Formats: sequence, C-alpha cells, structure tokens
Amino acid sequence: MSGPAPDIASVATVAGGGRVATIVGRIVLALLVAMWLAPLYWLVNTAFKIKVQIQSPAPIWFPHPITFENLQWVYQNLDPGAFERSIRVVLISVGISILLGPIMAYALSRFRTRWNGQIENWIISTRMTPPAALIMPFYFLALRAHLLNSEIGLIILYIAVNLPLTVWMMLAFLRSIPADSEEAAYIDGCSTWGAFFRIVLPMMRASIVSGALLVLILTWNEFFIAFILMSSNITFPVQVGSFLAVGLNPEYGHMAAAGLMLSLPPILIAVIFRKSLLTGVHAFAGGK
Amino acid sequence: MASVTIENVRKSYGNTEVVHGVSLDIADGAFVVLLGPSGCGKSTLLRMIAGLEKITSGEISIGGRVVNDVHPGDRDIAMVFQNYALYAHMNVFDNMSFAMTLKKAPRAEIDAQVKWAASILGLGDFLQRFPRQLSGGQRQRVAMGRAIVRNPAVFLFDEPLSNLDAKLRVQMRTEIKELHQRLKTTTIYVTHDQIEAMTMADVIVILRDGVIEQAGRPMEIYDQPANLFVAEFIGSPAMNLLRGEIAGADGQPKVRLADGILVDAPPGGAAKLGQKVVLGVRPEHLRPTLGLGLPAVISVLEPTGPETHIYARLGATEVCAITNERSEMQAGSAINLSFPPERALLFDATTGAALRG
Amino acid sequence: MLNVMNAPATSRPPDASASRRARNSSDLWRWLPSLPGFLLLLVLTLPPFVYALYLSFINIDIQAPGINIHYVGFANYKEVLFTSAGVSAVLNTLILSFGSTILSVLIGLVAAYLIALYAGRMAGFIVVFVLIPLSVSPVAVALVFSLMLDPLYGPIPQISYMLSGVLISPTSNAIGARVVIILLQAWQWSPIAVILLLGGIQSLPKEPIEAALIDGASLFQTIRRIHMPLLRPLLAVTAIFEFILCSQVFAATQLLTNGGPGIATVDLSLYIYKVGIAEGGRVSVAAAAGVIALIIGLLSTTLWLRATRWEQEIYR
Repeated sequence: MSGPAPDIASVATVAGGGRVATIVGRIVLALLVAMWLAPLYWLVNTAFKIKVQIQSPAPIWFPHPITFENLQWVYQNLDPGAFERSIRVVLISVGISILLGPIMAYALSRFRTRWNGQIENWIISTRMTPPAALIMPFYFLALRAHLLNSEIGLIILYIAVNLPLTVWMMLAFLRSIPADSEEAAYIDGCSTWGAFFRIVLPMMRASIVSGALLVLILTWNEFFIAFILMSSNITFPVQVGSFLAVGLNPEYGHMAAAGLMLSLPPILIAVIFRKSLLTGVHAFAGGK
Repeated sequence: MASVTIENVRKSYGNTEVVHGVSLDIADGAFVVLLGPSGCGKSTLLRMIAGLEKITSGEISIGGRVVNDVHPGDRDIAMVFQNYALYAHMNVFDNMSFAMTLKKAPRAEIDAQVKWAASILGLGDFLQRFPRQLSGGQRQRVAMGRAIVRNPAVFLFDEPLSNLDAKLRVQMRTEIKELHQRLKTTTIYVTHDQIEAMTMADVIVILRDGVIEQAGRPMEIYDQPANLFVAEFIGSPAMNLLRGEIAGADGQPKVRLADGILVDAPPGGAAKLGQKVVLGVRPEHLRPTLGLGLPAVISVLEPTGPETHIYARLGATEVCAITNERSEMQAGSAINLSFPPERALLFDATTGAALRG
Repeated sequence: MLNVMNAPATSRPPDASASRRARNSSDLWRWLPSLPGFLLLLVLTLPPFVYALYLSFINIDIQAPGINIHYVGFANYKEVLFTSAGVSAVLNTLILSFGSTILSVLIGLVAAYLIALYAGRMAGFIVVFVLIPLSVSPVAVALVFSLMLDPLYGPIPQISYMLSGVLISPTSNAIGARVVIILLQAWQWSPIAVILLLGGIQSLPKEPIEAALIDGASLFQTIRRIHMPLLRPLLAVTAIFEFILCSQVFAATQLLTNGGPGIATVDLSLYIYKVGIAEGGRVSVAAAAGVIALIIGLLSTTLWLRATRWEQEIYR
C-alpha cells in the first residue's frame, strides 16, 4: 500500500542530497531568520544601553548594565500628544474604513453591472498608486485653505487610503462564498440588505478582522502623508523620525527607545494575530 | 398548496436566450420533475419560479397569482439547494426557524413548527448543533426541514441529492417521496438523474437547450418517447438505436438496416416506404433466442446479479440486450437476438420525431 | 423511516401581496448604502488628480512672487524629464525599485523553498518571525539602519574595521547609499515574497512531483522543470507587488540618506517633496513629477492585475 502522498519535503529527502542538504538548508534558513531579526535585536539592545556603551568603538552585543533611562527620557520628554494623536487617527480611520468597506464590497460583488470590473480596478489602483503622485495637489490645496496640520484632514485622507484596502480584501473573500445562503434568506423573507446584515456579515467576521489588522498596522506606520501635511499636530512616526533629522550625533539611546515604542505595538499585533494577518496578505495579493 | 402556471416564459442573458418560450401547467399537489442534461435550462426555470432570476418575458403564476415581480420571500415557496445553503453561523433550530423569526411569529408557534419538522426528518437531537458539525446527509435534512417549517404552497428542489453518496441518495429519494405523499404539497424538482425522475415524479418534464422536449407521466415517457433525444435520455442502459429505411410496407412493414439486415417494424406506422428511420428497441425487449433472429456477436458480458447485460455487435451497430437467464454465453460467441416488433419504436432519422400509428 | 404527524395549526400570513410588491427593490436603489463610501473615494481621488494635471500645466512657484499664472505647456514635464535632477530622480526610482524587487523576490524564493523543504514543523514558527519586518514602521527601519551603519558607533562599520582595517561609511558615497537603500527595502519587504511564494509552493499539485520522483528527477531538476513553470504567474504577481511596495520608499531616503550623498538617493517621491515643498515651493514642477509617478504607478498596477488574473486562470 502506498504511504502518504509525497510532498515537496519528502522529495527533498529522497532526491535532494538527504541529510547534508537538510543541515545546510536549516543553517541557511537560520541565517536568514537572524538577518530579519538582527536589526530589531540591535534596536532593543541599544535602547537599554547606557550612553558609554552605545558609543563604544566595538560592538557590545548585550547591555550590561541594563538601563531604563532611555525609555524614561522618552516618556518624560517626548510630547505625548503625538502618541495620542496616532492612536486617535488610527482608530478612527480604521473604524470608519471597516464600517464602509464591507458594504461597498458586498454591493460590488453581488450587484453585477457592466462596470463592476472597472470600479474594482479603480479602487485597487487608488491604493496601489504612490502617495507621492497626488500629494502635491493635496498639499497645495491645504496650504491655501489653511488646512495644513488639521487632524481631521489627516483622518479623512487616511480613510481615503484605507478604504480601498478593506474593500479589496472583502471583495476577495466575498468572491469565494457562493450566494446560496443569501438566496435561501431571500426565500425565507429577507430583504437584500437584511440578508447582508443577518447572514453575510457574520460570515465575514474573520476577513473583516484580518483587513482591520492590516490597515491598523499600515496606518500606525504611515509616514509620508503625515510628514508632509503636518508640522505641528504631528503623529508618532513623524515625531520619532525627527530624531534623525537632528543632524550629527543624535542621542542614539533616546532614539532607540523611541523607535522601540514605535515598533512594539505593530509587532505585538503581528505576532498575536499572525494567522489572521497571513490570511489577509494572501487575500490581498491573491487578488481573486 | 397551489398550482403553478408557466406561460411562454423566456430567459435571456444579454443577447443569448437560454429558455425559449416554455409553457407548463403544474397541478396542485403534483410532484413535477424537471429533467435534462446540464445547461438545458431546468435550474434557470426553477430559479425564475423562485424569483432568484428575472423573467425576461412570459408569466409565472403561483396559486393563480402572477408572481413575476413578487419578491422571493413573498411567493409562499420554499427551496432546497444543491449545496444546502445553510446559515453557517446559526444552529439547526435557528436555521429552520429563520423565516418565522423574520415574520415575528410567536415563540410557541415557532417551537411547535420546528419540532414538528424536526421529528419528520429525524433531526430532533441535532437542533442545537451547527452545520459544520453535521454530515452531508444531515445538512441536507436541515435544508429540507427549513423548507418544511415554512409550510409553503410550493416546494422547490434544485438537484438536492447531487452532493450525497450513492447509498444516501437512494435513501433520501424514498424519504422525499414519502414526504410528498404525506404533505401533498406541490413540488417542483430539478435533476439530471433520470432514475430520480422516474422513481419520484408524477410528471416528468424533459428539457433540452431551453425547450420542453416532452412532458408526461414517467411510464408514458418511457414507453412512448416523443423523439430520439427523450428515448435515449430515459432508460438505462440506453435504448438501442438501429438506423435504416422502411422497406416493404403493407402487411408486415420492415426496416432495412444499414448493412442490409431486414427486421420487422412496429405495425401500423405512419412511415412511408423508403423513409430514413431509426428503430428503437429497449434492451429489456431484446433477447437472445435459440430460434430465428438477428445474428450478432457478443463483445462484452456484464453480469449484474439479477440480470446480465449482453453487449453485442449487430452488423455495424453495438446493441445491448438484457436477459434474466443464466447461460454459458461467452464473449466472442455468436447469438441470435429477437424482439417483439410491437414494443419497438420508430423515429424519423432526420427530425428525430417519433413516428406513431 | 419518516415519522409523520400532521402539521400543527399555524397562522398563515395574510396575502399582503399589494404592499409587498414594493419590497422588491429596484436595482439602482439597492446601491444606496454603499454610496457614502464610493462618494468619499471619488471626491478624494478624482478632484486631486484633475487638480494635479491642472497644476502641472501652469507655473505656480511659491518663491517667485508676483508672476502671473499662465499656461506653460509641457515645460514642467520637460524639467522633470530632461534636467539632470529630474532624470536622476526617475532613474533612481527605477534603480532602487528594481534593485529591491529583484533582491526581495530572490530572498523570498530561497527562503520559501528552504522553509517548505527543511523547516518541517518549525515552518509556522518561522513565518511569525518573517512577519515582524513587515510590521515595523519604515521610520523605525530607517532609524535602526542608521544606528547600525553609523560610521563611529554602528556595528557594521565597526566589524568591517576590525576585519579589514578600513573605515567605511556606507552612506557617504553614491553607490553605497543606493545599496543601503536597496538592502533596507529588501529587508523590509522580502517577507511578503516569502509568504506568497511559500503559499504557492505548498499548494503545488502533488501528482507531477510524484511522477518526477518515479522518473528519477533530482531536487533541482524537479524545481526547475516542474515547479517553476507552475509558479510563473505567482512569481509575476509577487514581483510586481514587491515593485509597487518598494517604489514607495520615503522614510529611508528622507531620514537615513536625506537624498544623499548629493542627489544619489533622490527618487521621484523625494524629488517631489524637495522641489515642491522643502527646497522650492515649485508646486507645478512637483505636480508634473507627481503625474509621472502616477503613470508609473498605474502601469505597475495594471500589470499586477493582469498577473493576478493570469494566476487564477492557471489554477481554475
């Protein structure tokens, strides 16, 4: 009787040089993973070092003593407004995007017209085009209308950027569900949107979470638009970025601590919700 | 319970017409099967009755009321889908009671109705379970339960058994028929499986390419197919078809087959001398005989247990004969086949239409 | 098998067909709930686009006071496409983007195969690590790389000094700076390629692989002759996706190298920022550059959409 169907891994062991290749392969893989983690390790490393060790002529791989003074400095001296603003902006824009997104995606996916394909293409294009392309008219308009540095303006722009993303991902998910359950709901007496809220939305929970997480991380990290449009009322990434604009000899310890605070939330989200995010990435790029 | 009338219904997608002017009268309480190969328009027709597809032209009435523009939920129908179409996030009880909940029916009524439907289908123990915890057969029952609870005027079934394994299919077939006998609700059932049609239907409607080829009682269709398509579609193994032309009218008409063999034709036909025809003989009427008959050579023998299917070459044609007798036949041996001429059928070779006396 | 009782008496709903008929919502009305979202998108994308076009054909320059605004034809475009600064920006965009893309896809492919072949049960674990660079803010990435590459205190120059006795400052020369940006982008975005390609490799049909085994193919032969043709559409999708992601670099070029040395790492995005806002106020020129960036972006997106459709055809 044949054993389990051979997959690519068993092909490797049978045909790919066996044990030696496996060991070499695993070493290379470990090196790659180290490559991806190394910069972050260095960030954490630096954030907890005292200044003397940061400025040592040879690399020190582990801080001794471990100090919290950098974090304390950041906590005491950085204007918390930027951090709070980032949270506000992210939550509001993500919230509105996932409110509007599924509805638009449902309409596009279930109400077929000649132009649906075009509309879908247009929507994804708005997300994929570089923000640099349209930043100039926004900046200039905002400048003339004295709307620069407006938090609401930023939120609206972020919604415009996040909405296509959520719609695209919801579309991918909806395409994979046949409309049978909705048709059964019609026959049971549901109206069109009634079926959406009672039947489809509960089924979309997972992909909505997925989309929300992806958009959350992207918006939290967003730099370009925030940097250009806001000089006061800045968001957290811009504030952290300003460390690098100081010139020569920035306070590396403080910088690292701030960088850590910036990176920690999205990293935590990514690690905790990894399954959801992975599905999201596949749905997004798989297109469908 | 209500009658369903389909009047000259057409359906087009863009410029392509897929249902061409179909008319049908379905009596109150009848079990009507829409039968046909893939793409013949049977599902489209069903979905137009349900209101899931727009009717391009023509009228559909349920219980005397024209329902062309009526929302599916208001047509007093219930539908069982091929893929069950259950509400995945609700348990069985909620699935079955959904329609009543929408209409804000009193709790006690919902309870009674669901329990009644559940008892009919043996779902009493499953009411709190979720669809993902059920097998295919159980899910199909929940779908049927959902339909029964509605107590509708018409049941619609869209190939409900296609996703079940063979044994379950046979079992569910009987149950659906028993259900119909008990509830006496008008039922319209779509399938491509002619055995389902033959065993369950009061009336079979055979569709091909958007047109009704024949409608009638199962045995009528079996014994007197209106054309070649129906003759070949119904009955398994398929009817034997022998091509030839009419020779020797008056008295005992005969058909001269392509390779010169002369066979007796069914008497009293409207066929003319020299007309190109197709002679149809069902395998169960074609038997090996020890006496005079058509000479054939056995290619393959298929013993199925109760009977043996003999595949043999009759001249240039491969035919199938069914016999209940066990014998020492072998592949390659010669046999004689005969059939009672009055059981054979004649079809015009060009149009495919049946030629009857 | 069926256990049938009579149906309990229920109240059948009165025939309210007259009022219910209106419930069958006509096609156009059912789009209503989705309109706010569509309108928002429309208002926020179309007018700016039109305005950008308008700006690009006139001569707004914040620093040149008193000039009357008039139509200048393609002058702004010529400036972007034919001056050395502009050409450099376009070229840098292409160099940096293609460089990062190729590197990302290569790393992604190698890593994906290594995971599929040799990771065994650790595969899920490794994929988590791979998610981390993706989720880090580009600002933090620029920050970290500047930490690591600092000529005095960064570990990389320090190690290289210990090994070779030569003091290097990677971002101080044109080629070095570009390489740094390319490596940085590849570091951050190659995980996307890993995830996508790993998914593709793991869903390759098993039968051709079995057949190759029976035919005696080696691992490399199997990969080259059987996997690659099947993976081609996915590779296209991944590559173009990476291109789009990598071409939007800004934090690194602005914060780490500041476009330098000189203008060696000024790509179109940075060019637009500098010319239009930071160092110029030459709004129209920047707008023209933006339109060019838009064209590149639209081309890439169209290619990407085609590639995703190609990918589905192979698998449906």
